[in-house]
Amino acid sequence: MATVITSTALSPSDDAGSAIGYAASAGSACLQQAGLTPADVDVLINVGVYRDSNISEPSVAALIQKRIGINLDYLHDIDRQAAFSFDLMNGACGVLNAVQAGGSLLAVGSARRVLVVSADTHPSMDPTRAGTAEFPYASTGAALLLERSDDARGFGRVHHRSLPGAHGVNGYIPLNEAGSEGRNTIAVDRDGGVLERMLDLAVDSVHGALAAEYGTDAAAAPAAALDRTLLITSQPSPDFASRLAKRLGLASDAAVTVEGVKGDPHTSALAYGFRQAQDAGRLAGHDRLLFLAVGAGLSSAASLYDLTGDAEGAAR
Amino acid sequence: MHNSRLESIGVYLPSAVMSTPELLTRMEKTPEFDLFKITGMAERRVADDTADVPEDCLTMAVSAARDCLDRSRYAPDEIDIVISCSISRTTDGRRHQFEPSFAHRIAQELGATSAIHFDVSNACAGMMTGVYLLDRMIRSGEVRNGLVLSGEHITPIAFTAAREMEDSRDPQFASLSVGDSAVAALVDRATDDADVIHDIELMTCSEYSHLCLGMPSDDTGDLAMYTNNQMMHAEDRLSLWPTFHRDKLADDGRRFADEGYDFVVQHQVGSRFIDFMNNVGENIFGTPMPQSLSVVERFANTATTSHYLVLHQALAERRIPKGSKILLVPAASGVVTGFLSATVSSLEV
Repeated sequence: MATVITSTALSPSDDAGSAIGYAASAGSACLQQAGLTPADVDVLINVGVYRDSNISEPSVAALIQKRIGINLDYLHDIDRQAAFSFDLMNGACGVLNAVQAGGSLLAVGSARRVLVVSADTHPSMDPTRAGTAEFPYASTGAALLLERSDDARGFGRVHHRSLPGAHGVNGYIPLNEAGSEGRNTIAVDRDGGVLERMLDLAVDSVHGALAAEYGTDAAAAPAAALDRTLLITSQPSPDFASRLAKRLGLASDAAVTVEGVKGDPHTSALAYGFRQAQDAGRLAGHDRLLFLAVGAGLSSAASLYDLTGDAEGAAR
Repeated sequence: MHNSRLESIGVYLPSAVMSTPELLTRMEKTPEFDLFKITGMAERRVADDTADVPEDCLTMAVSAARDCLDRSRYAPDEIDIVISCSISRTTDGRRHQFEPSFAHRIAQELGATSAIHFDVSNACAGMMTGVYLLDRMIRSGEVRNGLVLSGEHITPIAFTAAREMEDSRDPQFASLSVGDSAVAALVDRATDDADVIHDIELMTCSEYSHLCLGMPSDDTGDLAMYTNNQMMHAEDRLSLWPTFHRDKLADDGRRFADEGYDFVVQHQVGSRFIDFMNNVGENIFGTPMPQSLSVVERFANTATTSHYLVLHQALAERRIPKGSKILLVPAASGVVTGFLSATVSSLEV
């Protein structure tokens, strides 16, 4: 029994530039593909960070929930299907925290289906300001539907690392400087050399995850331990995935590089990588996925995902 | 499966007190309303983020966490997870932070360096959402304990309202009712029935998610909040809690009247709101409400921290006998409702 992804969707690109719109369209498509309706969702988690007009209240999740049409008004709904939503924010790692928290909701029976949506946008909702030197993140969104598998398929434990010191990336509204432009203003400061630090942390995280799952011998030889494993990573730079593969001694195509997005898909990166790999037929020939995110903090999160349901494969 | 419990609780309250008349002198237009009469709020605490040692969302959260850990059996490096839940998330000189997570920064400050960390944002139901997730993560065995906290420097929205609002029908009127604080709660596995979280259930009815919006002001700047009070506090909205609570209990063949709640803590929107909520509850449950606890007069509406601040103050005043069963009822933009019930015995401040 584990948490398994039963449907994924990426938001179609549009000029509206609304994170709420991106997450809602991906969420709706994700449900439709699974043959489900909004009433089938028990919990909606939004892991997007950069949002329309810099809204801080309510949760962006509640606004996405309304757009998808989940539990609009319990009091006047004949079926009275309660649902709950909230924002969970931890930069690029947030989606794996949602897997962890959502996995607990599924495991204890508080939810049968958890819909995880992600979307980022420049707060001005002007897509031409996204994916630039000032705001490196793509204006896009994605959705993952999580359920419990009845076999060994799915996510293993989520392993975390944090580094002390400089945060590497700082994203904030400078309220004093922004004046009356606060709804359209965002600053993303990236330290010089942050990508190298992110790569170092990613390598360290892979070693840590392998050691925790398979012992220190596996961690010492990551290339062997990651045989038949596809790496799906955050995408802080277009070459991050391939550079990580190289650092681990893997073939450059052992890691998925997200295509067709202007800028860093940020909180949607893992969903993008998974879906694009699936669509390209790249999951075939692999027994496992290694989901790995590195983001501001610096923080990292990593989890192995068993594709086969074969306990032998999982235990290797 | 392990139940969870409230193991320890800590607060930080800024020392500066601002009375309601003092707040109203900040208004550009002379108010035609009696804010104390409408809200029951005599004063609130106001953080000073320009002080040498600034009081902001981050510093206050860290102080509350230290207060909590001083009473806890856990050292910082024994904490499995840190969940930060504030709405305002301002630090470093009025920067509203999106990343890294506040939880990461707090965990680093505390020395909880190996803890899982993430932020939760769910309007005034933030801490309730954090406790809900932690309860489920403890039940599933994912973690053994965790710190749920929020530093809320929210009074800037009151000052934005004071600069900009027209009259008591202005969408920023509700912004005048906030106060600053930080609260941290350590939640771990229950070991007996004397300290245990019995239920925590939450629901979002998204039809009304647009009724209360927080975002920067496009007029005079800084953070602001715009609320449709009439729609937000319509009886149908207030009925959501008792209806949902009644239905959830009924799923297990239980009834409100049999639960033996000793105290109820409503969200601290104002004294009238608290009375309305208790009246609606009484009507729908068909039974008298337990004794209602409140800090609205002294601390106003502290947003995400309100229920836990009430709990802390009532414990400090020795108003909660050991073995009491408390009921916390969130009411938040979203709209979010639900209930938490817990027995507290060894929880002390």
